[in-house]
Amino acid sequence: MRHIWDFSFLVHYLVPLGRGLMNTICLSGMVTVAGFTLGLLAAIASMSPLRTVRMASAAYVELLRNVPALVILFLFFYVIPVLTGFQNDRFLTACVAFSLYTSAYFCEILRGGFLAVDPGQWEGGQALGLSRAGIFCWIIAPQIIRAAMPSLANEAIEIVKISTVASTIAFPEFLYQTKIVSDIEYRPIETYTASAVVMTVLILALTWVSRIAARHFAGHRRKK
Amino acid sequence: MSVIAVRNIHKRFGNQDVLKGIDLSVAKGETVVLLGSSGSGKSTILRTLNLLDLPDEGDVFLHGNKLGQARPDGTRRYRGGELRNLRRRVGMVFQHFNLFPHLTVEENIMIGLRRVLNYSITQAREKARHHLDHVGLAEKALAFPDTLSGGQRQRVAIARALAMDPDVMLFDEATSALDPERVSEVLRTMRQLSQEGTTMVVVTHELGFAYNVADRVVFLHGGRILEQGTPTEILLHPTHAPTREFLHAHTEFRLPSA
Ligand SMILES: Nc1ncnc2c1ncn2[C@@H]1O[C@H](COP(=O)(O)OP(=O)(O)O)[C@@H](O)[C@H]1O
Ligand SMILES: [Mg+2]
Repeated sequence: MRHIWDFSFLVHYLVPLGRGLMNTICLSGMVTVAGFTLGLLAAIASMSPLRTVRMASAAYVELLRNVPALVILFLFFYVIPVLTGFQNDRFLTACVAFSLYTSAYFCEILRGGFLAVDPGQWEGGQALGLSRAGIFCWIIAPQIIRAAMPSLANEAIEIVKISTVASTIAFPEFLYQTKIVSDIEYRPIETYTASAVVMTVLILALTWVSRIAARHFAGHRRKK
Repeated sequence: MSVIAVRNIHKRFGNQDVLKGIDLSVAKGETVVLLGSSGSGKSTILRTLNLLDLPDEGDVFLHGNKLGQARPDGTRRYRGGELRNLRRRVGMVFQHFNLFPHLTVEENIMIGLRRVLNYSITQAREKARHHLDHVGLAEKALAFPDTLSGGQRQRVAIARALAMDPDVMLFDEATSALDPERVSEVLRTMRQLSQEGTTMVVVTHELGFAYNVADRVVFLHGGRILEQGTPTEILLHPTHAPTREFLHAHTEFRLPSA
């Protein structure tokens, strides 16, 4: 049996697919910001002088890193409402679950960036009479960002892919909408091909933006 | 009166006694060279002078004023503000330069002026340029550190410390990480500073520098000051065996004088 390719039916579904794409972008954006922030806090905690705080951070990271995103999502979607009697909004559930999940990765990336900075940089700053906060802001943090930028960008791309897992709780993100269209039209090959192209374009665009950001943060002036 | 001094400093790392009662006092305009074999505690003394390392026992004085507050157990407590105030008055030059790689040469110098001494950008830039000119690197103001040679980087680090108008400059093996042909440019800069009357404490293995530039040479051994005196006394007529061995090891291979 030969398959005859036909994409024309897709024009009738531009609105729901567009809405799905917007939802994917919103979810990914929120998760990136919240995951980064949580990861930053966990990274700071991991360098605390207090042993218990360091251990708590390590436990947090290990726990979240070793559980699949899907499991965390189901936990929040099914288990927590049972325990609390409070049904969450799908978007919020996905946001919280994926933010926690990716924060573990952000934490590791930021920690790695921190450890890559030569300890002599602290001493250089201290010897000038700068405060520890000042040294961190003006000397250490820019170098962490510089070292970690490629991995951070990579994680943001990873988040876009992870966000599709939200389709399993019927959050109408791009993949979920794609599936509905495919089911209605009975044309999975064209529908998923088109959706793969759109996803690829989105991720390429993200890669391109993150490259520009990397160059900007990383001291573009260094490139001669 | 001394610019900076330490009295009866003890420092332990783990169960290793690194400093076992150091007294050192540096007068205004004086150049003191610290000698001693590797691991004898030279860096630790310098780092105690600006309290990058806190001593376990003993006192640090800036212009005759004892720093810190006494604790009931006899040790001293140092507040952050007091430490920062000390460090901006004590310039330090490190073996590995510790320049900030994400900042240009002039920004490296400006950051302390801006963030510690509250200069405006214009004032800070002007002062940075002045000090770069002083070490002969005016044309490198906008370069990044990784584009400079080791000798140039170290001169930037010297300019960065000098721009804070310190009361005393500490040099910790400032030429040890340099290619041999880059050593003299840094030593010349240091000699010039000494001749201009800068108060300096210099850790170096360059005995020629010690002989020609130091007002006083201090030899460290086993966590104590074994002997000190003029360069002639210590370098040509040492009285202790460890000093003689140290000097011998450092001068074993050299050209005969013509
Ligand atoms: N932060 C530290 N932790 C543990 N040991 C240290 C530390 N700093 C220095 N030491 C030890 O103290 C001794 C003296 O070190 P240092 O002052 O650097 O010697 P020098 O500069 O004369 O070579 C060495 O044995 C070194 O291993
Ligand atoms: Mg040393």
